[in-house]
Amino acid sequence: MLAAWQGVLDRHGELFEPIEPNASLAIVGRRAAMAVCDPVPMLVWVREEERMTVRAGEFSGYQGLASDLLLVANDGTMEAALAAEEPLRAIKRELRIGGMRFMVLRRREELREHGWEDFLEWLGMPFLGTCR
Amino acid sequence: MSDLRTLFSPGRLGRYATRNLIKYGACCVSNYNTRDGFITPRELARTRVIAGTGCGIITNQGAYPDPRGEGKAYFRQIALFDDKFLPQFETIARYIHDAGSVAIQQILHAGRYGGIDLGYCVQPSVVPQTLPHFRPPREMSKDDIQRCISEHVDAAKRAIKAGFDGVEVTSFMGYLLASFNSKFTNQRTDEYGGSIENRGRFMRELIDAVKQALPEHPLVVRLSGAELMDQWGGNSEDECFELMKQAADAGVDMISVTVGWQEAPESSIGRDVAPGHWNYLAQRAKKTCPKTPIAFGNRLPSPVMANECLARGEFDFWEVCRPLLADPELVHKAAAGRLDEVRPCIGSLNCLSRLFRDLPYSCTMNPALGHEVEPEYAITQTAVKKRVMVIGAGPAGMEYAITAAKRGHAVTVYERHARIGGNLHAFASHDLARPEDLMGVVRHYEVMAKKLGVEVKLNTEANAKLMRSLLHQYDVCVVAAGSRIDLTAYAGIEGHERLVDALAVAHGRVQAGGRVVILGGGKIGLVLGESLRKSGAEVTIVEREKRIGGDVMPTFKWRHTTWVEELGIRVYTSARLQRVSAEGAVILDAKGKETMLAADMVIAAAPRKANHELFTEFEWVVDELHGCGDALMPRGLDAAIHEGYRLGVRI
Repeated sequence: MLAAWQGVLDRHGELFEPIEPNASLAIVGRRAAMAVCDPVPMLVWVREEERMTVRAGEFSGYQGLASDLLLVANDGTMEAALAAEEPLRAIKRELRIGGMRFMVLRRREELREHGWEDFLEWLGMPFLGTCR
Repeated sequence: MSDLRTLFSPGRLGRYATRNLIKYGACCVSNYNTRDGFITPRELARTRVIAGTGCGIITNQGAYPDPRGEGKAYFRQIALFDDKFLPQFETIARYIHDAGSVAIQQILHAGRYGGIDLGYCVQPSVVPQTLPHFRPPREMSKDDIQRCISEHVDAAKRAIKAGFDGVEVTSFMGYLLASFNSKFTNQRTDEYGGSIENRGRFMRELIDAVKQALPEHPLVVRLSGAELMDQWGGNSEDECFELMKQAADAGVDMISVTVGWQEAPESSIGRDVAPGHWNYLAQRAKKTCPKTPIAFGNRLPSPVMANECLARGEFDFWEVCRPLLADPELVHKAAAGRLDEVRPCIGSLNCLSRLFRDLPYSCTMNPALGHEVEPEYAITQTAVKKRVMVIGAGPAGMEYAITAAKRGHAVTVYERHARIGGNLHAFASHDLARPEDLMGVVRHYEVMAKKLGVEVKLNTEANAKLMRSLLHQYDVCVVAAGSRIDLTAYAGIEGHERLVDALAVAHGRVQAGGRVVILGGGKIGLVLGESLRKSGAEVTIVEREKRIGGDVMPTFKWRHTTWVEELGIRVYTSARLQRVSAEGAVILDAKGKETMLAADMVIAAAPRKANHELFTEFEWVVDELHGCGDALMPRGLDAAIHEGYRLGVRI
């Protein structure tokens, strides 16, 4: 799983170029996504000097999370995305139809400083707000 | 009037009689006020116009009730946490009463979307935001809840003291009470969380406290009929109606039914939603709470449709806001049987777009909105009647023409094509959202030009020869000739002569299909690409910038990116054209990689160039020469209409 996601991130390196070193995005299953919960496995995409890398981590609730962003995925959604022809586009599609949801753990200014603006816009998240 | 009999029949809110069944809804905060919550002369002037709209009930925009600003969602939102704010509220209540309407003051604690000056927001539980422009959450304690109820009661008392007849509290859109009601944001384990009974407790206690404090004054609560957050763990529609029943049982005097949270992933009020789409929610509210008056108006801009719904007993009051921002005379025109003169709300959501940039709201269709305090924006009779020629019957030219005609000038419009509307007509005919809305703008200009005696000469190209033949017939010439695709920008590119002008396709002069490459992912390229894809073409968009939709209204950018995904349009960003051949287009990306895109047609949809050559041609043949809209610089509908109007009130 880690290696497969690493391959995906490497193929889309240009998307993560603006992101500052150490900035990260966590991915956790929806059933575990509570304000406080027992530690459960999660994926973390962390920007290192050269590229975005995939690591395994533990999720214990929103408050203890050091990442900038959290993707909460329905059961099987990440696996299905990985099996898709274009996994990142599959994530984008799932966000739109509700199979995943995005949570923002930092203020807008911090996200901008950490270089997430382009990636969030690419995912279809209106960085400067919307009304529909 | 006779056609809209039900709409104009008298109604009742608590002990107050209303002259009709129309409620002006406080749908937006104006952002016209001071940073510390005081109402400004600009706001008072706007509110005076709103008071005169003829609605039976007028709701003044939401004020935050707490001195800390936790409830404050918007940059220049008004406040009601202290008596120091009262003088201006008294003025507004007086305006509304003088106009014969019932005055309601909304209290808006934004909760999850609040704390704009604080760097945090308050919520039932720490559930992070799903959009980046809000603040990180803090959980409210039980003491915080009681203090918040008390602040709402104090704000409600102040509103009544200022002369308002009743108050409205907000439990919709994801604001504070809504976030307690919703199981998405409420993960508490005390008596304010868990079951739907517990989640609604804060709302019921607040309603009860306000009613106990002000038993003689009507209390309105705005509630979601659908949060549109159910996929994200929010309330189902069934749960929304259960909460509505709780509010009715708690003793509210009216329920205003709304749709959607700010974080909802789908449209609720945008122009991609058909008018009447949400009416079923109001019907269900009426059935759920038959003894409580129901107000409704989400995506219901038509007084005719509202009248029909009221006549069928689907709800009790038509709640309307944005259509009255677009045309404050809407109700009067409807009453006088002059609906054809109404300046339509096109649902562009320009108003809300600007709020998220912390700007005062404005309206695409009503350039005077927010400028009521400035005499320079008023249409006054001209001191010198002039003969005016307008070149171009697009939105800028037509807006100028009808404004100038209202002032008393004799206006003739020259249009080289066979119809008015300019490029808006082409744009509307390819729009996937609601072409009827955009065409409504064209129809409005047709009707008003006729009523105001503006002469429109179609199929007449304005050029130097025409001007020589008209020498001294006009005092003023206004160049509103719009813009074009600048094909000369591709002159150095091999095969550039094969490029097809996007506007030629959009106007129907060239038929496109098969494999199409569109150069330019701005609004022209996107609208055309989506339309061609929907008709079966295989479409690829090539954009020089990092992202598509750079010139699209912020509220609609997501809509285009979603359509692009859903329709399967291929997009290359940070890429430019290298050469064109019979086989297609070769593009070059930012890393220097060439890609061949097979195509039957390569369409240039960018860059745009102003049609301003006539300024030079006409400089010495007419007394006054002016310009407006895209002829000065290519932009969009909003700038075209606003500039046409501003020039119209000035000359």
